[in-house]
Amino acid sequence: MKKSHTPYAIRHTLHFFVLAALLLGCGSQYSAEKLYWQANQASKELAKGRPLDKLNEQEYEKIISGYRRLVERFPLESVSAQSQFIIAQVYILQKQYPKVEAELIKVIQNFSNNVELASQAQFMIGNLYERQGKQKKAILEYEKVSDLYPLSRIGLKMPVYIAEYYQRDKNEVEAVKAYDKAIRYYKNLVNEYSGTSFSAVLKDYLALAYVSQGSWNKAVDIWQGIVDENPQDQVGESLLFTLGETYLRQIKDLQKAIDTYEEFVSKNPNSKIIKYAKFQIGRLYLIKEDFPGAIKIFKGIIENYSKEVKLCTDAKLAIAACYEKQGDWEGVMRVYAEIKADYPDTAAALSIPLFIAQHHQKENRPAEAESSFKEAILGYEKIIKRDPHSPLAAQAWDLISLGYLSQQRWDKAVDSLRVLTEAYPDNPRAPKAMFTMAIIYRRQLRDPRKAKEIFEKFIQQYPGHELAGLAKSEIESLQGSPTH
Amino acid sequence: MLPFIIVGLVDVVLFFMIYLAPQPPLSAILGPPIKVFWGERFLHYPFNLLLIPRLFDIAHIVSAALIGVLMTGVAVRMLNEAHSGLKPVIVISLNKTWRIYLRLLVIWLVMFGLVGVVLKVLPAIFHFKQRAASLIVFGAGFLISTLIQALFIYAIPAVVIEEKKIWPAIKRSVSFCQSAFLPTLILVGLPTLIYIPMLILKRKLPFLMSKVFPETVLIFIGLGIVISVIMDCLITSSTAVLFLNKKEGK
Repeated sequence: MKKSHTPYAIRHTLHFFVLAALLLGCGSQYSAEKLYWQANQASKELAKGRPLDKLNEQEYEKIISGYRRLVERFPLESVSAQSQFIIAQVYILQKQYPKVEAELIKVIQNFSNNVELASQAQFMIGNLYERQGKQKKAILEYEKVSDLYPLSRIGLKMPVYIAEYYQRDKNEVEAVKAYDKAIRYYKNLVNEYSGTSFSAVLKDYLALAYVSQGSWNKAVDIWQGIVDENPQDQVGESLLFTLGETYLRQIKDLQKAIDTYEEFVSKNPNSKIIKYAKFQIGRLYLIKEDFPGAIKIFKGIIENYSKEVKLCTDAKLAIAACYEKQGDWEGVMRVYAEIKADYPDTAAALSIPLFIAQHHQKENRPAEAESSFKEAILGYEKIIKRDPHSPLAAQAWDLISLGYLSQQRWDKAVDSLRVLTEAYPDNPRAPKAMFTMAIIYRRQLRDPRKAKEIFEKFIQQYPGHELAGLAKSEIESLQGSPTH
Repeated sequence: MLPFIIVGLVDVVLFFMIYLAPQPPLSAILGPPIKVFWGERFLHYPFNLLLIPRLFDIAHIVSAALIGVLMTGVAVRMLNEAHSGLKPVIVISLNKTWRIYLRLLVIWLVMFGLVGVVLKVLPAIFHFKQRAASLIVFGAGFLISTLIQALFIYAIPAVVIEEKKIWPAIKRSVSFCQSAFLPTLILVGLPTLIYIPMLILKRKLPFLMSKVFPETVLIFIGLGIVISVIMDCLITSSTAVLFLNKKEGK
């Protein structure tokens, strides 16, 4: 009796699960994401680490067909728009500009409700004309971005972008007109949205328009206003540091930078970012060479935020820097010993052997520097050997490369940077390592072909990185250089 | 076997729910906690697959506490009935065992807590970076947890068969284990050994997922459920039979 019931119950339960899986497991977004991932993997395998422009026509077609499959099956999923952007990029490489435009128009049509995606596609059409040197058409398309999607991220940036475009084209008259127009445009938007939370974002765009013109004083006035009005907001918090850095680096008014942070600290004692503001005050005292003042602030940070390891190690390193600037090497070593003892497995502790070697080098003690570098690198190699997959191992490779760079051993530096980029491509240190490698090839090893190849790989691998723009201009200047 | 298959099926249901968490309609319920505790990206392919083992571990603890403990009690009762010459009927056994669920749960919680403490504390105290040393710590953890399991394994038969309360059942289990130490250690340790390859594979899972295909994790969890069912069945049945035989003085 029992025997006949058991398989029956199990069979029916299994039927239920299969049915449930079929019914539930067919979400189009998830399936689209899966196809997108598969298309990405297939492209990576095809490219085999080569920059995209080094692929042949057949390989381009294979890449396009992978993404096309997704676009055809799930045309309205956002990853389809991403796929169409990739397809458009491949067409750009093939110089098939009409096909690029057709692809981007499809994105605009399919995602008219998604202003971010639609504005990106519209911007890319303008960029396509800019690439072909058709300035009037490009401007017309850029103006469309601003008219059709005024509050999208790209739409808001457009008025300044147009002015910068004229400036890049050395068309000063049009650039001035465009800047005036952009500033009027942002001022109108600020008035329109005054009293809303969006007004801070719009004011920031107005400030950026002034920055783009080089009017730093006008920009800092606006930022100061935003910080005063939104001390607890993310916009206000991030702009506080922009403000401080602008006073320090652009306006070169150290005291004003200190005053900005000190005023923020006294006005907003409960702010979440007060610890970072205090750290900046300490840092500025250090720059001002008020060492007792700086040390007092950093010690206060360590005492008040003892559980925040990164902040405490940074404060300790800053104290060590104060002692070093005063020539008190014993004091420096005492602080280093404290870091090693209190925070042994941290990035700061790991950096100490390299700092010591660099100090000997700075003090012109070549023999001591040489042996310290050797010892530091050996230590880092041990850490890598112990656990090559840990984040500390990636940092160790980074420090090895810094050690070789300090010693001007360019080949060795390039070798270690290469390992860092290849073994840890997703580590935040990897993009900078790849960029540094390209710079070494260009400036020190005088190999422009290799440098260009790495810059191209950088743009392909990290298109959204802050150094991508610089990599592009390096490629442009390499293309124009006589040695290339 | 049936009580353990039921536990396995519950695990399969939970596994399905976790796998389907990023998709509607389950995403409405499971999406927000995943987003809060682990981040938005774990609701998207292939990152959702990386989170499955962790989520399944949590789900398995819940299923073990709610269903697993009860079904172990049911299995012991059915074995006792068969041993006494009666026909074991799962529904009747379930009805009787349900009443002593709280006692079974407390015993399980004590055992699970102790094993958990050992597995967490050992690596924290002996924090070695060398591969060999960390393997020794892993082996020691395995041995100690097997020992704890062996000491507590007869507490459930003591509650179900001898109707003892929690503390007397634990005392009975420890004394019974002492009287049959080696057979108990073998009966508990040998089936547990089957699970070791799974533990090793689990550590290599992210690597396997990146090298083979991300869905490898589904095969791994599926296999894990089957092995768990077999392992639990072997340990519970063999120790319960030993308990019954010894009790009868065979």
